[in-house]
Amino acid sequence: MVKKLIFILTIFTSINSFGQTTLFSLKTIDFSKHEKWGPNQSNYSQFGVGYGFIVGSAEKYINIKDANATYITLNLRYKKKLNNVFAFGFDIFHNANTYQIKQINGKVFPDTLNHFKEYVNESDLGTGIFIRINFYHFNNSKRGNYLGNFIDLGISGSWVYSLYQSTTNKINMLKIKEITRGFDFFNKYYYSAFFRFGIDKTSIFLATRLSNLLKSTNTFPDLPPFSLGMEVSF
Amino acid sequence: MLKTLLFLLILSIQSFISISQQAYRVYLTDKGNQQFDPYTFFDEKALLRREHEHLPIYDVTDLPVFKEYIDCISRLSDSISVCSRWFNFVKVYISSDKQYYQIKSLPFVLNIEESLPVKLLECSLNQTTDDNNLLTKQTQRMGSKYFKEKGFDGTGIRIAIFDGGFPEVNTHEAFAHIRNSGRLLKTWDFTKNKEFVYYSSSHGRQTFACVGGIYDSINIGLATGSEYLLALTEVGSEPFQEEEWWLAAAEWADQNGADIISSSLGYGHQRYFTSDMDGNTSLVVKAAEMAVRKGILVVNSAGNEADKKWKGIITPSDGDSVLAVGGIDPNTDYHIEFSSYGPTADKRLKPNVSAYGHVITAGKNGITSADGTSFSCPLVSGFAACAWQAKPELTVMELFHELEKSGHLYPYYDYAHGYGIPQAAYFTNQINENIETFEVIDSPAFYTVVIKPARFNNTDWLQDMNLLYYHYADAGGYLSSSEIIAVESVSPLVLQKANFKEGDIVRIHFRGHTKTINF
Repeated sequence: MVKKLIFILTIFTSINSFGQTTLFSLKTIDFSKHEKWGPNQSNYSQFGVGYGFIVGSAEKYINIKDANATYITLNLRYKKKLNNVFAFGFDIFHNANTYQIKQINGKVFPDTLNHFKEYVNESDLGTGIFIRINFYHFNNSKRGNYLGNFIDLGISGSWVYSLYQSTTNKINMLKIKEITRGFDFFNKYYYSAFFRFGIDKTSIFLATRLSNLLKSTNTFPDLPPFSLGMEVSF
Repeated sequence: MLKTLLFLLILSIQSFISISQQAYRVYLTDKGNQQFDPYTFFDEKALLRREHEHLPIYDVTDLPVFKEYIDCISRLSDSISVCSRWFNFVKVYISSDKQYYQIKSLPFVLNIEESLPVKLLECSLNQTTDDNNLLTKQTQRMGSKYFKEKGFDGTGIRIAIFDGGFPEVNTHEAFAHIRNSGRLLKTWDFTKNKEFVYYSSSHGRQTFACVGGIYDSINIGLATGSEYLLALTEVGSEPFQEEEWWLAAAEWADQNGADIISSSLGYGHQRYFTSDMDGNTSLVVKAAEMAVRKGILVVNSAGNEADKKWKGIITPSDGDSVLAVGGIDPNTDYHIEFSSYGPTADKRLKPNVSAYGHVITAGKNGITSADGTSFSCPLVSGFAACAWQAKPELTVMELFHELEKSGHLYPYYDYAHGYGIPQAAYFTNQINENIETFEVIDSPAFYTVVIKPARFNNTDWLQDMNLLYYHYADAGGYLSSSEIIAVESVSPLVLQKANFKEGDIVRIHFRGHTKTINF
């Protein structure tokens, strides 16, 4: 009888039970599971931003202002881990290259005119493939879920979709800026080889163009082919 | 310009690759032909421990690494540091592939593994002592009065503390009782191979105080009568330390007669995946397990990872014979937010027990508050010393299991608290009679938990929080989830039978009483 009364009481009060304050709740985590995606898991993708300089010897290439010839790159990268040392992957990227042209006597690119300031901006979309070698862990190859220290070697192809020349001239203290498009002396596509040296999500990037950016039918030499910069990924 | 940039690039890569020599562990095939006298090699207490644990006076793992092998490897490497007798390896530093292959080709070399670092547990400090009661509560919560009544203060137990430095331990008043009675037996800095350890990270001062310090006549930890060995196993300004130093310190502790190792350090995400936390993978856990096999109780912090991506315990807490200690929030009396969750990757219960993860400990001057399972661990180490003094007949694994059984939640457990906070009354045979604090009413569709009226209002300060614990387990005891609810009515929990399948288990704990429902 007492039990029945308690039961009725508990059914009645159980309505309140759902209002009890849960102070702590833990759903058991399966720590034995290996995630499929992660910096040192089977698959990994990351978004990266890079900035650097375009360089090349003045004698061989068009004379550009080294420190002012820059590139900005945005990329999306996928990496497939093969083992603790080797991986491969591909990039999809967007590059914006700006070539500040030195205003010197005998200048031929993109025209013979000298300006107060002049640069050529080339934007391209591209894709690349690379192999990755992780090092420092050669003999035991143990690291946690980190990219670790690595070298990437790869090749890429780019499609030039935008190109313009920007000139600034001073006339009576007045600065006049002009944008000119429609040059036909650029190739639509070019190919590069690149090298990355990375420590986790930061890397130093070195690339060299393997094909000319300017058409070979032009009378002037090509633009400098080397780019060197830093890249940070997220 | 290009040449300069290329030069800088190559230089930076080159300098990175050769920042330091590579370190390797060279494992050897045997220990050669050597004479070994355990009576001169071991401290008397180490021999007594072996006798107590029914172990042979020595075995092959106790023999030092063969000197001729060390000399030979030494000639082929830049330098050598740790030599492990337990695992029969020599740690070497080399700077060329040639050296690597020369050493590898030696007939007595079994294999070579790269050596990487281990990390001291992070902790946060608060220089204000915001809770004056906390200093008393942190030992009181473990039932310190029962040990005190019986005079158990860890006397006769030798504790080795591994940490990143022990500044002010040679001057601070919290350790005066230990220094003045000559119970600070030995110290060794494994990072620099010297005796002086009273410098570098203050972490060691704080953890040591939580084992056996006294401040203003109040115990910071419980083992105020124990003997101590201090091992500095962490490079001062660096956040890293190598696993081998932990192993070397464990071998040193064994040789010098330690009964307990208190270690508030561990390693997780930098080198391992959570799936590696299986008690078999890291060198540190193998060293800790070996120490237990030599009869030493190894107490280790569970880790401070619960509120980070890692979430789980860190090694060597994953060892099945390592007593992993989780953290309790003194304000709520349950899991403190950062304390790492179990189980291990192979689904064993961790942490094993818990203690306060927010404590008052020895500051540079006076006392300070500090957070971390780094402090839960030494509180339990001090407790274990008193427990072993109370029950000296226990072997190390018997003590391990008794410590679990003394937990305030036992036989209830979960992956945040283990069996809860060890209670001194268990070891002094003054544990309260198991009073039924609630009952479970079985009806056709429900199980209803009903709190006994007399237990609903309780004035005991230790149990005034009305916490009801329950977990869902499978037939093997593996939990799928656990919860704590605040009991605010006489029937705080109703379980719908339809939600369970045959073989499921629900275990409920309220104020010292546990009931199990088997579906």
